[in-house]
Amino acid sequence: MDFPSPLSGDLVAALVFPGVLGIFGFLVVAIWLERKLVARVQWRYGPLYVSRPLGGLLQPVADLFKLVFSELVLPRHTNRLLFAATPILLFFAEGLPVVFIAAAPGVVMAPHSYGLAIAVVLVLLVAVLMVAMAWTEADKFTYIGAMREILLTAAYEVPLLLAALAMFLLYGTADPHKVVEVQSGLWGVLLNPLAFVVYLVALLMATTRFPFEIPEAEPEVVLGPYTEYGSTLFIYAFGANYVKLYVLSLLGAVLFLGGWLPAAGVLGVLITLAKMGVFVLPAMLVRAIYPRYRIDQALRIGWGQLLALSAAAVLWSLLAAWIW
Amino acid sequence: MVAVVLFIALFLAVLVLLVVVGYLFSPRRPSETKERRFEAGGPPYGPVQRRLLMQYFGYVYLVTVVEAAVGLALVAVLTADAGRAALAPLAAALVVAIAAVVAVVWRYFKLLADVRRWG
Repeated sequence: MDFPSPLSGDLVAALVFPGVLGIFGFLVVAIWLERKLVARVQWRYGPLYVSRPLGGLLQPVADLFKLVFSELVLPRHTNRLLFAATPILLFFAEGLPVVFIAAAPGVVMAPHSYGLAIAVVLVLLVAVLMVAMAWTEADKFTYIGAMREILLTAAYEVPLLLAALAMFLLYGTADPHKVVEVQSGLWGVLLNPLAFVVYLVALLMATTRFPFEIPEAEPEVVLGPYTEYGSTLFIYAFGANYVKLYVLSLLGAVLFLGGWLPAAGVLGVLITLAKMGVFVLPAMLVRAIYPRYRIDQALRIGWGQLLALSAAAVLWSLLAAWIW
Repeated sequence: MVAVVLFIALFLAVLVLLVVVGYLFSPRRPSETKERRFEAGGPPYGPVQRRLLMQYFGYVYLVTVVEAAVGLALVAVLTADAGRAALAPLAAALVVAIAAVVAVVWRYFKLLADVRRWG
């Protein structure tokens, strides 16, 4: 289906949403929203100094400018080329899965019958680059942070895959358009609530949000895998997690919340954006609510309850597909 | 396909451009202290109380790389039903990825084998 705009649907997807503009726009809005929400919970105003009439919305933009124009320090003990390249590759790789996810009918860069499955696999592959980045930095804090990241990845990726698999089994397809089409009666969250819960918790672990903010736990390992970075490279290293949140929220909206339904076109894109909030808002709010788990507690949740729940979700889907 | 190429080119261009702009226009006052490894506030002194064992880190990297290759292989198998045409680019990507890993291991094998550099 064609997208009603001067640009074709795939170009809108590449340039605007969920493409380049969407990724950078989300980075700004998510940082602002997180600071505002946490401030509200803690009875503070949050960012207000820059663009007061907009509620400080431009504060993250000012912060990003400040970081871009601060001195770029390349530590002497590192391979400088790799030190500069790995955060860029990490940020880029985190955004790559959007190529296969549709934001509205026709608004997808690469339509594919296994598009959502490929997106899930791409999300899980990025851990390699995180380890490579920490390796390049060659610092004990980055090593420990990367080790925690890998342990956490091993704990959440099986449940995340199983939650996605449960939905693919239920829908009988991994094509984003058909997945949304199947949900025209009932949304995935109602068809398989277990998979939704697993996906939401795995999303928090994957994006290392509280209570799973363990790899970069400030009181323990400075900033974990991002310790040695400053300037623009810090934006990429640290912002990569926000990009992952963006991708997983979009994927979640399509898998569980009926994507762009009940509309299409521009309105469909806006509806998808609004549905992403169901994943983004809790991820922002938990920062103000939960303390941080220890790594062993997080691993026990991942390999214990979450894995059992995700297996149950797959069984649920098999049963539902059999009855349906 | 044009959209994918455009997305990748524009995304990477913006990322690299911001780094180049920062590098060219930010103030630069290099000092020995700034370029040192971060040590949480103070310079290291005396014998270490507990040594962090690093030699297994390479295995973690290896596992994550192998997992990535297996993930891609799975996708290739999944997409095989969609038509042989889809399999060829993925297989090519897999070969390139593995070749890159082999090249890096080949280049740094001696360095990796030197256990004194791991501590």
